Amino acid sequence: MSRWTAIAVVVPVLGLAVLIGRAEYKSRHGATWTIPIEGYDPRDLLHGQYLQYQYRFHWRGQDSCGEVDAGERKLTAGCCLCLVRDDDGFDPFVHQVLCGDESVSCDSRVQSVSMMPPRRYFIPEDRGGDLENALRNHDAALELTVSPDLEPAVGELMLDRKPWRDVIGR
Amino acid sequence: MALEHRLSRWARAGIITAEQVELIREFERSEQRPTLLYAVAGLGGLAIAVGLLSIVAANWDGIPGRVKIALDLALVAALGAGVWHWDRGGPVWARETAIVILWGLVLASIALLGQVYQLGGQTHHALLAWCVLTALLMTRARSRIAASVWVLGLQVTYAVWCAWLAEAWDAEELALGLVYWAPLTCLGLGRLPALVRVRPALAGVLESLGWMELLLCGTLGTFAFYADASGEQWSAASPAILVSVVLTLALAATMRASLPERLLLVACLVLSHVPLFVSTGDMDLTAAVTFVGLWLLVAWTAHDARDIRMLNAATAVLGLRILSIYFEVFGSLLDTGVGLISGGVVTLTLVWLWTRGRKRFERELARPQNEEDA
Repeated sequence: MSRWTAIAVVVPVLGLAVLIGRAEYKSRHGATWTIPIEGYDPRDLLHGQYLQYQYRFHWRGQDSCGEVDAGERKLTAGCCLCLVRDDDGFDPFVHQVLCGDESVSCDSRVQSVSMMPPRRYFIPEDRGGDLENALRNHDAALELTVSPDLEPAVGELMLDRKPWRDVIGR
Repeated sequence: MALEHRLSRWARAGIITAEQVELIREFERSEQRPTLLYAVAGLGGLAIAVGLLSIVAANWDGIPGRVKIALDLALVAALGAGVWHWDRGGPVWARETAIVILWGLVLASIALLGQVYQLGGQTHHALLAWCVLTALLMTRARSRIAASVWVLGLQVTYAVWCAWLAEAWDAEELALGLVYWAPLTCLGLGRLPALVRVRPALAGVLESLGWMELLLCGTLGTFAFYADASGEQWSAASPAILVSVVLTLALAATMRASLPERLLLVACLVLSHVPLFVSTGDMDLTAAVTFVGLWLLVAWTAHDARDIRMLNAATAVLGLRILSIYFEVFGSLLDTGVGLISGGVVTLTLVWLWTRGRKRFERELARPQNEEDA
């Protein structure tokens, strides 16, 4: 009986350790990018404990995958975003390609479905007011690390290309 | 106290001897379980689990993210060690409490991971991970409160997946059809002899919750006769409903149950689904009759099972429904004095009938089964 209990209590510890390890690996391995963001609903940036945002992409190049709606390119499930470095990884050029299409040269690929709006960025409960004001007065961007499995790991929120805590104080 | 009173009454009447009184007393003492202690300790554990979730939700900025993760993992491990320790040497209430806290803490930990690493994942994925990681742990619990929170947690996860299915696949009708599987599965598992033997508290919770939710579905189904369903695409739910039909028939045929119980199972299935296909929106009489029929069946089942509390509840629900039917039918008369007086008379008549019937049923059910059969 005790052996089963031992296994039963080890499973959650190991499971959580695996999830932590996976998240750590994804955030440390792969190319890092900084992509500008904007509020998903400009009137209402913060929803409780998170910022609801969407990426503001710098579209350039011919899409080989994806839909176009009223002349605007749309992120499409099943496609990948091809990220091409401009200078330091800030605001890269993007276009959509088939994920397995190796004929297109990209600096990174990330699954389009992982970038679709609305996205959430969790913020501390007591910093909501300050951050909301700061978001209205500074250009916001998010650091992303793209892992080999084409999934993005979201890092720091940047305001005017500086970590948000450095801008609004700790 | 009730036992002592009865023992002394039986001893005075010469039904049992003083030795037998002592034997019964000793047996009851050894069998006694600290139910209140379990309940209070379990609730305390649940409060701590919810508190941990709240702390995570506050996303306190004072501690760096990775330190929070490390502390959290250490807490999970320490609590796990506590469960293991108390499983070997007791006390049992401490083990049960620690299991409930650990169960909640694992969910809080997954939420914390999402926050610190900004995973932006979906709620249904997080809940599924939680259910998988804690499934074996929760099978180790023996108390009713641990079983209750576990089953409710599983049901919430299932409901969230159904909601996701409805949204992501644009399959609202199919998702609604799937909802019925949850109580059916609970009832089926709760009646499994092996589970009843090994985990009686869990089996009890599964059965009670299964019946309660099936009844709720059936009852809500009768109200669907008031709405026009002709514009809905319920045929999309057919595959899910077909599975529900097969499951219900299999359960009714195989489970050890009385005739009224089997009929009730089938009635719940029919009333939960049929109104969605046939209702034209003006079937008030059908709605009223099916409701009353369903709850008469509940009352019959309770009577057959000698469950006086359920019988009382069923007759009370019936009385309230009959009253509401009266107001539905004669609602316009309420503006007049005659309408108010006759409404009051109907109410008082129902109360009088209910009181009389309840007393008679109580007398009947207090009688031993063999005396009744004779």
